[in-house]
Amino acid sequence: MTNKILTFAFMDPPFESEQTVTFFRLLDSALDQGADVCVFAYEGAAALSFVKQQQHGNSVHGRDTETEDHPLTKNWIIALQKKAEINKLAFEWINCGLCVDERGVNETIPGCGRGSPADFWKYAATSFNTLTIGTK
Amino acid sequence: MRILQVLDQAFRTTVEEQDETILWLIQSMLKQSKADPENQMDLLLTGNAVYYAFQTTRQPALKIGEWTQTQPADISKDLKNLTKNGVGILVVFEDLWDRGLDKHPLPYGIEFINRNELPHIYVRADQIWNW
Repeated sequence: MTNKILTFAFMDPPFESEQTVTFFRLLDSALDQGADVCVFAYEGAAALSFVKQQQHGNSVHGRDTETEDHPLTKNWIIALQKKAEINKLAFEWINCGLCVDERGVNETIPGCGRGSPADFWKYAATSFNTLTIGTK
Repeated sequence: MRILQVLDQAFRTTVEEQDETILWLIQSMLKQSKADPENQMDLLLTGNAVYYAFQTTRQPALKIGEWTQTQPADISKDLKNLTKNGVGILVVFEDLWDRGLDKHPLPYGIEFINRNELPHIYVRADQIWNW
């Protein structure tokens, strides 16, 4: 039996919106349910896979960089990529190329590609369903 | 594949992107959509996005210091392009009424729909993309 494919389109950037965490939890749950996952990262979401995201210490917390172990969305994507690989599921990620250019976040972690709304359409056309999460 | 695009947020990104980002996205997918006659896209304007139906001029240009925007968004043009390309555009009447816009005539190609008729257009869509 082939896996169901679920496509997600997301617009929010790292760190600013509570929707970002919810979005990643949904991706994680989709993999738990045995779905192949396709992501189209639009607008601010194009920065989620930016390779130059860096952890930092936090003096208010009294912790250095290593101890603080600050969450980074690029690492969440890597974790989902690994989870998909272990479970023999597909996990594809396309960033809107123009959105990437606007923000200067061209350098992405491996496995995240550059594309356009045409790729989003192709994802949706082959998917069981599509969830769009716009910026509110 | 029939996609219902539901646009509720209004004037999001219109200054920075010089367009309405979801109207841009839909226009960017027209080529793929029109490649198969079985495909259809519809746009449902709800909430504050119902204002879009009555935009007749470009958005005002932003001026910050000596920097002046030269290419502000043109939402009216985007909507006309969508209707020209076969995208059906519907506006929720009650959302117009809430905003005192119910007496204004709708532009050609844009139609009213009552809230109690929404289930019909949701059911006929294969996918619903809420923006």
